[in-house]
Amino acid sequence: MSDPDDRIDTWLNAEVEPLAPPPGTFERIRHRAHRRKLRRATMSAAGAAIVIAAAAAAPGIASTLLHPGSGRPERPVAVGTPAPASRPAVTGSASGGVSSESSSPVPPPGSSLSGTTSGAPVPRNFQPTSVTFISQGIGAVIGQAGTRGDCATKFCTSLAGTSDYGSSWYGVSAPLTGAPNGARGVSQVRFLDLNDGWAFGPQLWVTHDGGANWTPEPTHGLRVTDLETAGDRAFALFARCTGTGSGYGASCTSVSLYSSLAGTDQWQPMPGPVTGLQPLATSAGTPVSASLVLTGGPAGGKGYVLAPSGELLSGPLTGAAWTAGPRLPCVPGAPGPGGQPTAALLAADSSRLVLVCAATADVAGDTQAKQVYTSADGGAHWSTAGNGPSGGIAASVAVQASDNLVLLATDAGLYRSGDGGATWQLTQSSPGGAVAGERGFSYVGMTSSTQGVALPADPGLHEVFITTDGGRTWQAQKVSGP
Amino acid sequence: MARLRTADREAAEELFNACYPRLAGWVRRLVDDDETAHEIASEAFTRLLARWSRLDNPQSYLYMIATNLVRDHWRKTGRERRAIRTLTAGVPLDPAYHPAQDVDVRALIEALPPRLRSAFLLHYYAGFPVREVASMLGRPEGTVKADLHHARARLKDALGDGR
Repeated sequence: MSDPDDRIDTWLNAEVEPLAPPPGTFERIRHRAHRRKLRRATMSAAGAAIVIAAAAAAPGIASTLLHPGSGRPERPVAVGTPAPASRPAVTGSASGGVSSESSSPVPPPGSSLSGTTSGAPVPRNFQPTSVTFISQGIGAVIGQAGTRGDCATKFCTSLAGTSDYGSSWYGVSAPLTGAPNGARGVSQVRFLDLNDGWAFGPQLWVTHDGGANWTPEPTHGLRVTDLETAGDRAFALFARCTGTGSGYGASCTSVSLYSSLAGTDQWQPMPGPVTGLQPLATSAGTPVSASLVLTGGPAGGKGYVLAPSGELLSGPLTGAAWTAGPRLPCVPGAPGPGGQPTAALLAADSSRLVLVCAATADVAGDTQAKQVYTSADGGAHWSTAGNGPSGGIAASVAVQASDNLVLLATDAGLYRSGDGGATWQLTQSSPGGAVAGERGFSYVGMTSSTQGVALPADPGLHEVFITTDGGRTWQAQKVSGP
Repeated sequence: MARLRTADREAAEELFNACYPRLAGWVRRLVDDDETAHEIASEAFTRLLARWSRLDNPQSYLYMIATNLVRDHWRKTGRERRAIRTLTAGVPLDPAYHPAQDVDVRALIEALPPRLRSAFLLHYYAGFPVREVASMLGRPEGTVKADLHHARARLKDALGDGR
């Protein structure tokens, strides 16, 4: 047998035999690329590409996509990448063996996010755990739907899209994975535009065709606890965790910032002191929490990581190195189920950062002391804006600096401040029907000075809440029936 | 605005004519299947043209996308092979299953950790300089050099074991 080096060199140096394109290939590629560009253009025309959202709540069990035209009651189905026709399509069964998919009709071709409705219905019992918008009209929710054990595949993860800011919803294909369970499953979604999107928490899946097809991404044994998109990149927090069940992010020991240029599926640690982030030595061993916030586009855009140590790390959205910043007035504190901070909530827009420092909650009284801080210089200096509302336990904060608007989601409801956080009004109480322990809202975000969205902490309500007047009033919008 | 301008289209077509056959052939050697090679090469060009105005180095983008799509293909077919093995347990595999003479080297490359494999394919097989691979993968040059060294050492060890 020849020397191994020789065999490797022989393989590497063998002439690559060109493979000529079939007739019409360039035109097909050009048209396909044109359609994808057009989808981006449609999105851009509708408004700035602002991704907002994600629920911090422990995900419930829910979701599906219906088979259009199947003529049968809605039945959940997670639609994934179709297998090439030349190969056998096999799907793992719940028992861990292999079987052809027989419990439901063959999944239809992928349904994708669109500027108009795709026509695919939303499955019943859709329980949204995360919401994202890419414009003033187009967005998506992810969650579980249908009835566990009666989905078309063994997974009930589903997506729904909207082109009218939540007034109506349509079915979108979903990753072939379940609800979060330790290292597996997804609960959150972000889209960069009408093509590129990611489902995560704790696994990471990617789509390049608006959700029609999803592919799992390697995370090297780490769990993705946060992900945001801006410009032509996605940034994510990869955490080393041991949490089980839906608490996949509750027992993490370190977190690192990764980034990927859209379309490349190449996730790399960001340069700079943003890897292996841990609490201060004095609190080593305690579970870490961290959050990620992006503002603006790639030219003037900036990203921030609220690190477990309480430091604010920041950097450009170009892939260049990030830098360490000052210590914040409070540390992130204990993690929620998905690894999100519970004691320090960060929000930012292009001109201002807002930090809500939340004290230990009085769970029985459903109160919590909160202090609101703002920074107008990228986090270098902070000033006290005021006390936050004492009612409710804080879960999420949003800011629109141009209108001095700050919104706070709590388990008591949604609060609004029109003076930068000095004074607050409860503008939406906890939705009726929310189960104990899942009252109020887990997320609030703004896509413009007037439009915003909030996610009830109880996914079983099947709702998102929409505002069109800067958080003064909110309307519940059903994603699906029960 | 969405349609490629005439000059861009001509440039894109020129790039396609110059690069597609080699890219598809490059992929075919990794996937052993003309149809899959065309699918991957076409998807790489589609993503390139959809982002045409924003890329400085289209060739490296093409090969990086193709490398990742090959990775996805390997991952999927690996799952399918495992599934077929489960279904056909006890049935001898067709000894003529492996069509390529160099399949053992390729299979070992396929088995490399993703981090080492990307660098190996882009540098040794696609021929990009270390500096460019480092830029593509977002890693320091020294890290890429180390990855290349480790990849080669692993392949060499594996081939040596098989002698």
